[in-house]
Amino acid sequence: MVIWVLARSMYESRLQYSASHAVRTVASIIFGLIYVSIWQGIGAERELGSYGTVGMVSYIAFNQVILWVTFTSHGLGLEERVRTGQIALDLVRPLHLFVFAASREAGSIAYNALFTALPLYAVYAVSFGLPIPRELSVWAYTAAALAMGAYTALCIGYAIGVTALWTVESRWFSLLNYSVNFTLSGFLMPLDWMPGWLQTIARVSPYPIFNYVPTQIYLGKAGPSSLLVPLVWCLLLTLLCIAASAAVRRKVEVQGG
Amino acid sequence: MNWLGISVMLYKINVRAGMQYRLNFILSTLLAALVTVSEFLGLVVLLSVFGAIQGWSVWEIGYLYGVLMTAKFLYRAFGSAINNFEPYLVNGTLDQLLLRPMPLLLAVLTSRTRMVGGELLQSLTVLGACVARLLVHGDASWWIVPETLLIICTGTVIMFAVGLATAACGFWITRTEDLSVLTDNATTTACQLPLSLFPEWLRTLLLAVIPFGFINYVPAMFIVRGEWGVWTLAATAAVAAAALLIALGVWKIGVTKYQSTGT
Repeated sequence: MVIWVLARSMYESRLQYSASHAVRTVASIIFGLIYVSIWQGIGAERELGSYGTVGMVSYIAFNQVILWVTFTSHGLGLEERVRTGQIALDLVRPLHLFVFAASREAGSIAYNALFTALPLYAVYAVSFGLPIPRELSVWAYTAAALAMGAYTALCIGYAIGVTALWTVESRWFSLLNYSVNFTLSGFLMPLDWMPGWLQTIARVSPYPIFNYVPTQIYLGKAGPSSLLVPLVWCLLLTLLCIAASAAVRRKVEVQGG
Repeated sequence: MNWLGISVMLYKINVRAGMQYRLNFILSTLLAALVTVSEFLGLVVLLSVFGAIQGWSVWEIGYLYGVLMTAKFLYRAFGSAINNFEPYLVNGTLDQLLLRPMPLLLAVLTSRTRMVGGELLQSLTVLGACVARLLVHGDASWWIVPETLLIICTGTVIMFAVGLATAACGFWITRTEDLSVLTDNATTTACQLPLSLFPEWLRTLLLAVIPFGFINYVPAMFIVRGEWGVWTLAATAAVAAAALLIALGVWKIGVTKYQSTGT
């Protein structure tokens, strides 16, 4: 119940800035068009493996859509709470800090999914002919992959956020996470095309769950077995977050006020 | 002390203030360099898999990237506050700056400084390697050096002008972060590759509306490709000047519309 209230309050606060949000959606559409144009340009000169130009356009377009389901605010907003001293009150609450921060962010993710991902999906389905799966199971597995992707993003966001207790500012960890994610998640190009060494790094990291895994499932290039590794990552990252919370309780020192 | 002296002094104070948290300072410098290397990795992987794109060699595309990112980091070094202007409006921080006995734009610019050493090192290394390669293989003459320095300057001005106009929009819409994603991030992403790759409407957008195409692509068509004339350099300088004037005008009007939103 508390989780629901926290998520809903964040969702409602996000509803307040509709003009800004409209700009974000337009920006995201244009971002997707840029990436699609790059692949259309490359595809005009050479074969694009088993995907072909049309397949790559679908791959990139769907990646751009689901980007918003796994997009979290910097450190789940914990850095600011450390800076203002609010974190001390958060730790006093009868609710685990991770559950508190993740629930709030989940409301934001729900907002992004409804007001950014869904419009993007509609635009790309019309403009690029994004394929729409007919099997219900494909939708179910894609939804499961996206749910795990969102949860993984929450865990990583939390782990980054709590580093503010030690470093004051954790913004750079977030930026590093975004930029590594950009390459290793398969956002720009399928993992199969990457050089061997990079492929290995990507496959042992949690990042493919953000883009590569859900998109492969959605496009019918992978089945439910590809959800096993992300599931393991979700469990490991949950343990990491619990351990980080315990460390935070010992480390916290109130600044500001 | 004149405005320049005061600005330099304020920048120094910001740098010293930032260095008070030593662990944070060292970490942020290292991570900033890692972030840019990691972002560049995406482009490197793309180029390593596909090689030349639309007749542009890997080194020519590297040159586009180097010029663009060097201009971007130079702008971020002194225009960090403009690039991240939203908190000034949302938290009401601008009220305090309005009380300072100095021009508002200068007060904003000197209120925050970002250390970009790591990022600049990365972009200059890429640019230097590409210029050296083009010189060694006879694809460019030594003129490439002064011409590149010139377009880095004009590119920084264009970046600043677009950033300033975006920040000024905040006087009407308050939240500018998402607009900045469109005017800064999306355009920067597109301009890392030759504009000829993109459809007509996007090329027009990047040349006539948000003129990031003039930061690297247009002058590079003369400097490294030799396909267009020397007029591209004059046109680039003219676009930079015009963009700056327009942005200053928008800022000036915007300030008159400012309503405090702070607590």
